[in-house]
Amino acid sequence: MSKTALYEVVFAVKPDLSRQDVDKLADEYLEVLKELGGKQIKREYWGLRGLAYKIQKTSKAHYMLLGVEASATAIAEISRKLRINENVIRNLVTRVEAIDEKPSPIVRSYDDNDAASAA
Amino acid sequence: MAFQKRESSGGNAGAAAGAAGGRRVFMRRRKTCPLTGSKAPAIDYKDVRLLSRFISERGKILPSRITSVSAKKQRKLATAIKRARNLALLPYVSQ
Repeated sequence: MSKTALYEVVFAVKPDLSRQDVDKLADEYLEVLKELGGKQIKREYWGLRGLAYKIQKTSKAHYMLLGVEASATAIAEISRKLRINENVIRNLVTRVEAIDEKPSPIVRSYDDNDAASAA
Repeated sequence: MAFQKRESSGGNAGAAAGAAGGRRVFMRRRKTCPLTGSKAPAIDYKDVRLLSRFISERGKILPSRITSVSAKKQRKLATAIKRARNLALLPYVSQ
């Protein structure tokens, strides 16, 4: 069995796609993971978030986070697919020491966004 | 190097020295790094709320001499902010 490491994969998808399409994309990447060695640890949909600046004339995007344990070949393939897909406007793949099981801070602050901006 | 902080026990000695036009003595106690310690929050590019405390209104990363973040944490912080910027979670410039 090949060596595996923990990674966080975040990608932003154009807002004209539906939530289902984004889920399908995530499934596709997890499928790659299964084939090339690895498993999903965390999956988190951040929702249709407003962007801090405009990208390709849109100001919103779907965000998805995948926490995975993957082999180098699997992560290379996922990252290649992310770059090729025109609907994915941003992606970030980082190697991490540990994947937090709890929801990410971004999701927690999402609920009380208005309270944060008022403070 | 102009702002050298000195530990001084004399209450008015600092003010007197300042008035004399010599070296300036700050009585303010040196703050400790807000990101170091057991209760400190973890630096994470996903934590937009935390990171936004360390950027200016313009969107620039604040220097550590203002935020009193330790050098080690400042490097981590800078990376996290840059990652968040790339994902459009934080602005490169605002206004």
